[in-house]
Amino acid sequence: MQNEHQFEESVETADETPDAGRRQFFRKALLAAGSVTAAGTLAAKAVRAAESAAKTSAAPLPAPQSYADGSKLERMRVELLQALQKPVAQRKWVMVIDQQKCVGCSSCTVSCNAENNLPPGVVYRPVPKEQVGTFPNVAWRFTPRPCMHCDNPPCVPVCPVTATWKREDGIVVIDYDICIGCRNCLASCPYNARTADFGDFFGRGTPEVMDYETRPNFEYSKKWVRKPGSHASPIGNARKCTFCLHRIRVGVLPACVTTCLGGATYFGDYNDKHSLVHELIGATRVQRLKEELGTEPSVFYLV
Amino acid sequence: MSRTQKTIVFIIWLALAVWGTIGFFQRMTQGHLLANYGSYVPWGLWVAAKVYFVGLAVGASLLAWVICAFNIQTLRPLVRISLLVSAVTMISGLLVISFDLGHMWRLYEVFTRPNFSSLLAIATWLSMAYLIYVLIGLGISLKSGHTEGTGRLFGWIGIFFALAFSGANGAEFATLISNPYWHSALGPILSIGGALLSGVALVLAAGALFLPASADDGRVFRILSRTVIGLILFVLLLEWSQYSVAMWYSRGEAYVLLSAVLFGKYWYVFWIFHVLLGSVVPLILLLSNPAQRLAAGLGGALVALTYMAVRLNHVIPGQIAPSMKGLQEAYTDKWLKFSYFPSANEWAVFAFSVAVCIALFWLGRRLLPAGSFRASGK
Repeated sequence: MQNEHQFEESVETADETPDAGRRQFFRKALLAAGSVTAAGTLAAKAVRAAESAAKTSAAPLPAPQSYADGSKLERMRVELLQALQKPVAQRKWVMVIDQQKCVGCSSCTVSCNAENNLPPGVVYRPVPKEQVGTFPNVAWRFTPRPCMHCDNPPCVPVCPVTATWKREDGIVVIDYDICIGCRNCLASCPYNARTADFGDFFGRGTPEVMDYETRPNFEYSKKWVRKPGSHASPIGNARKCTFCLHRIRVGVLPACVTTCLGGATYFGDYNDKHSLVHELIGATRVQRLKEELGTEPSVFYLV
Repeated sequence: MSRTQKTIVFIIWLALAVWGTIGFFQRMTQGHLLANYGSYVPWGLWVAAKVYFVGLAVGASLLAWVICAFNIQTLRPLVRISLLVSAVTMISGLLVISFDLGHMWRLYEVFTRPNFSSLLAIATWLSMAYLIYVLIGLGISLKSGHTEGTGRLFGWIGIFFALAFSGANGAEFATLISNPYWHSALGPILSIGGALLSGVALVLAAGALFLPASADDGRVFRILSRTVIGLILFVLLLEWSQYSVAMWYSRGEAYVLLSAVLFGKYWYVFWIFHVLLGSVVPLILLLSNPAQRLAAGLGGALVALTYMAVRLNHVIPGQIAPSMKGLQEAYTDKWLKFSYFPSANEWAVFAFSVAVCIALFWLGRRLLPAGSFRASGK
C-alpha cells in the first residue's frame, strides 16, 4: 500500500502545485526534445503548449464565453485550466466523441501512439470502422475507442495487487511499478481497452531498433524508457489510455483531442455545468458503449 | 512398474525435459516475445495449463480427503500417492503460471499487497495454503501411529478446503461479467467436477503404475473405475446443461463462441480429445474391465491427459470475440489478433512444467520412506 500512496501523492502533488508540475514537465519535455530529431516536433509542441498553459494559468483566465464563437478547442483548453484550479475531487473528466463528425482518419490513434511512444501490441485508441447498409445506401460508422474510464470499472476489483484504481477525478490509472502483468484486467475489460506491453519493438528482427522506439514516454508524469532486452516497466505491464493525465496536469488537452481532424473529440470537466462537454452530454443523441453492463463509462458518443 | 515401463517413462520424461529446458531458457531470456497470446487473447496455453494442474491437484487430494473422512479402508493405500500427486501438480501449476506473468519476480506482491476483492488474489492465496495443507496431510499420513480421529478430521477439513479452493478457481473466470462465455453460474461447479474427474483419473493411472500388486487390487481398481465412470457422466451432464442452455435457440454471443468450440477451426479439441479419447474410450475401457489394472490405468490416464483439452476449451474461446465490430481490423499487429494457437515456445514451457511434475513425483517417491505406498495409514 505504501507504493500506491506514494504514487498517488506524487500525482496529487503535481496536480495541486502547477509550478512544480510544469517544471517537471519542462524537464522531461526538454530531455525528450534533446534526443529527438524527426519526431521532435511533438515534444516541441508539448513544450510550447505547456508554456502557453503556464502563461494562461498565471494570467487571469478569460471567460469561456469569449471563445463561444471561435475555436471549440480553445474553449476546452480554457475550461481545462479552470478545472485545474479546483481540488482534484471536484473534477470529473469526461470525453465526448461525435460520430457524425468523425471521418475515420485515425489521426487520434497516430497522435496517441506518438505521445505515449506505444510499442507493438499496445494501442490506446483504435478506431473501429463498421460498414452499415447495402449498396447503394452504404455508410461507414467510426467508433474511436479510448479507455472508457468507467465509474464502475470491471478492471479495478480484479487486480490481485491493487495496481490499478480510479482516481477522484475519474481517471483509471495503473501503477507500472506494482503491476505483475497477470493480464486479468485485460480479460475483464468489456471494451478490450487494455493492452499489454510484451516487450516488442517495431524494429525487432531488423539490423537496428531505431532511436524513436527507445525514447522515453511520460505517462503518469514519470519517465519511462523501454530498451530491447530489458524487462523493466512498462514492459510486462498492462497499459491503457490515461486521458493523457500527464498533459492534463500541465493544462494541455489530451493528444487525441488536439489532433482530431474532424473536431469530433471533446474533453472536459463534467462537474462544470457551463462546460462544452456538459452541454454536449445534454443532447438526445448521447449514447455510451455497453451501458447494460452497468460500467458507467466516462466516454460519451454522439450518434 | 516393470523394467520396460520404466524405460518408456524415462524416455518420455527425457524428451520432455530436454524440450522443456530449451523453452525455459527461451522464456527467461526473451520474455514473452516468442508467445502467440497477445493483448486481445491475453490468456493462452499457460493459463489453461495452470487451471489443468490445479484441477488435478484438487481432484487427487479430494480423493485422499474422502478416504480419510469416511475411513474407507480398501482405498487407504491410495492416500499417500494421491497427496503426492496433488502436491507435485500444484507446484507445477504455480510454476507454469509464473511464466505467464509479465513480471514473474513480482509474484510476491500478491502476498504483500493483496487485493482480496480479486478472485485471482484469493485463488493464489488459497493455492499456497492448500499446498501447505496437502504437504501437512502427506506428513501426517507418513507418521505411523496417528489416530484415526485425526485423519478423519483432517479429511473433513480437507474436503471443505478443496471445494472452496476449486470453486474459487472456477469463479475466477465465471465472475467476469463482460464475458458471456465464462460468466456462468455453472462455472464453479464445472471447476469442481472437472477437478474431481481429472484428479481421480490421474490417481487411478498412478495407482495402476505404482501400487504394488495385492490381493485387494480388484476391489481398489473397481471402486476407482466406477468413481471415474460416474464423474465422466457427471461432467458430461454439466457440459450438456451449459451447452444446451446457451445454444438451444441459436442466438447470442455464447452461442457463437460455443459453436466455434464444436464446429470451428479447432473442433477436434472437443470432439477427438475430449469426447472420444477423454470420455468414450475411457468409458469403454472402464466399463468392460473395471477391476483390471491395465485397462483401468489406461482409462484413467486417457481421462487425465485429455482433460487439458477441456481446460483449453474453457480458457481460449472466451477471448476470441472482439468486444465491438471492426476492432479486429482497426489496428493490427502480431499481438492484436483475436485468434490463437500456442507457439512452439509455449508448448515447450508447458513440457517443462510437465517434466518438473514427473521429476518431483519421482523424487517424492524416492524420498518418502520405503513402503509408504504399500501400507498407508497403518
